[in-house]
Amino acid sequence: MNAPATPVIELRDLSRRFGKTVALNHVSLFLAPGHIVGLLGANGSGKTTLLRHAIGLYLPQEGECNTLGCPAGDLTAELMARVGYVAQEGELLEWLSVRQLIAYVRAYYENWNPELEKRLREEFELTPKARVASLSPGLRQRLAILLAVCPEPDLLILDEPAAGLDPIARGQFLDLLMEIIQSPERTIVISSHILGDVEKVIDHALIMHEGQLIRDCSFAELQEEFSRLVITGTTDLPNPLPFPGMLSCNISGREAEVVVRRMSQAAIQSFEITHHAKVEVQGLGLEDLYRYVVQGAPEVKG
Amino acid sequence: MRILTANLKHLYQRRGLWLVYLIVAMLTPAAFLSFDGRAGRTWTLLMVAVLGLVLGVHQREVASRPLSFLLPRHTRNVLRQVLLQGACLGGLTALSWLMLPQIRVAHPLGMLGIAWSLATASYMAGTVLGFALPFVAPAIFVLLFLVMGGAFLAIPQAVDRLLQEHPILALAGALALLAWSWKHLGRQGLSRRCAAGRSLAFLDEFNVAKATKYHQWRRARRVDSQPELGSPAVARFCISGIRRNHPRSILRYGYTTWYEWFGVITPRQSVNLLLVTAITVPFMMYIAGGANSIIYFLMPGAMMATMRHLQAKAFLPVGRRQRFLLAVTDLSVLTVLGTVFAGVAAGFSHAILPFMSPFYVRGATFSPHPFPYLYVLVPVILVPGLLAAQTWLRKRSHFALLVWAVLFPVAMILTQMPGGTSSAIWLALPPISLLLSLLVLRYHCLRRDLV
Repeated sequence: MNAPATPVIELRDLSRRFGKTVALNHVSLFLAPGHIVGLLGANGSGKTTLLRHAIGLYLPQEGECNTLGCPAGDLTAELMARVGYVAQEGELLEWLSVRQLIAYVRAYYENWNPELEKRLREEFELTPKARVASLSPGLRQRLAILLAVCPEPDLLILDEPAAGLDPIARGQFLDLLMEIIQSPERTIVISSHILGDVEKVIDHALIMHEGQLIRDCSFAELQEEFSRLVITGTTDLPNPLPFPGMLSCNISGREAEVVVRRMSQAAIQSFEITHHAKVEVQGLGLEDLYRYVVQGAPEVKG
Repeated sequence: MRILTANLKHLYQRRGLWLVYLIVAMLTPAAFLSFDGRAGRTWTLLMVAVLGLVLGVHQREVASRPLSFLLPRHTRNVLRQVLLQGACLGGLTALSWLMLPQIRVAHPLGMLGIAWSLATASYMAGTVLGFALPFVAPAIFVLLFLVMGGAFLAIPQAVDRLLQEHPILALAGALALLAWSWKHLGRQGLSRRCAAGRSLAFLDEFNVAKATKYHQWRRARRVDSQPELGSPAVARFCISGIRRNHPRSILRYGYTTWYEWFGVITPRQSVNLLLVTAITVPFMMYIAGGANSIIYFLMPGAMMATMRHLQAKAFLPVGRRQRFLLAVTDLSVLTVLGTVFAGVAAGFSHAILPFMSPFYVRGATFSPHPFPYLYVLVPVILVPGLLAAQTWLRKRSHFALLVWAVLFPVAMILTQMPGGTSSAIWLALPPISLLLSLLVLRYHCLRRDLV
């Protein structure tokens, strides 16, 4: 990502330990406004720890963490009003009704969007008089999303927001994300391991593994880096196939399916000519991309 | 490894249990030293029951884990485990009775047998309670009241007389209690029922985050059939206060705390509190009036301190400094509420004193004594102090148990001090406690992890 003047989140060499466990290991990041960023990683890879640093719930042990241009630990109420956050374990005031809780949280914001609130209450099927404690986990999550989205924050941080949602609600939620990103200055960071959903909305990917940020690039770059080649030859294909950086290879006579990394169009054309074969280049889904990035992608020699 | 052996290993593998053993070890000599021979026997039985209650909660937690109760041949393990523990503790209790002044039973072995049966039955009954109650802290307070109420109704003497005059009846009672506990703990599906219900696990009472979440859920469930809680006028007043004040103003957070505390209190809850006060104050004036009435002020104060914690409140747009302001307003509300309650109780005890007269039970005189006004300071010391301790030990909540364990002995020592020294300490403690609490809250809010 090209570095503009004012990043929404900036981490410099951020490290964090919990006892002997290294949760974040010298993570550096520069997140520009106007993106939907997918923060991807397995359980325990450090996603939640990173997000909690970004909103100042954790303080850095080493390095720096700035959010909206301010050290995250020193975020003021005014700056926090520009940040929306949906926590993994949404803690709400259980004894209030939905209506009361919304009125309570709304009192803190000057730029609350009442139309959006009304619409989301209806779409998310939140009964105003229902008590928060009586809501199912999915409804609670919807309520938490409503509370985070209606102030129209500049930075929206969503920590596993879709985990408790059914497929229909997930669809509504993703549509909502697409709608609210229309503002060019708004940034959404969404942490999830339901990659199938995330890939529909993100334009930037951050991949974490064992406390390290192992990939920080646009989703398009990631898609260009890895590709699946479906090869159909007129005769039996050579084994091994002469592709450098081959990550997986499945050859069966005249047909082969190969995953390659950083393969140029010229190399593909050269192969087609040399071996009288037809090569179809396909993009990989986020799940496959994630797997190849995290596994370090050992190259296959055929 | 056999299932029984594996489960017995928890007794030394679980670190929280070592704290329980430590506290029991501290209290056991005190129980023997502070009571005469007659009272000692009842105390040992009650202590065994309390231990059964605490270990019962641990046992319930283990048994109700799906991993446990789905294991083959695990169904009756609870029963075997509890009986084995109860029998061992019963044996120890029976031996301890030999140290107390003898009571004449036909044969010393007969006395040991009765003691063993009674103690084992008490342990198992305590365990049944541990399984049945979703949270046990109030049960421990009730047992404390039972001790005091028992003394008032001369129960220790009655127990000794029963042992001496009707040993067979005592044995029959113990066996009946054992049989009832056996039947309850051996029920099919007990573990499944425990797993299906929501309850606080072992020592979770001292994990403020878990306890708060659980009590919020209970509170919400209890009032779920009612329409929205609280007065709309109070809600409107508080919300307009939040809107009106600047995000950095402490007034905004004062209104927030006000809304969270008073926006949802029902008139019925207030009436219940007044009723409980009206009943318990005269009772305490007879059985633990004067200096001893400190116990009356300790319990609500201590409970109040556990009612709140520094929730991350991630849904509110507040920075760390504002979280500190929220913590300060919270602390103020809790302390003021506790002090008002203590003041009302002390004032009420003085107001009704002229209408109360001494009375006699089995040759003993019971005179009413009002509560000293000085004890109004108890919540001012206790609430900030406990809140500071619990905030500091937020991630080591088991150690908070130790704070509670030393609370009562320290308070009792304070009451026994000579008047001048005692008053000076009483007056010095509130500012120290408040200052300590503010420093801890400030450090926590500004310098520590909030989740």
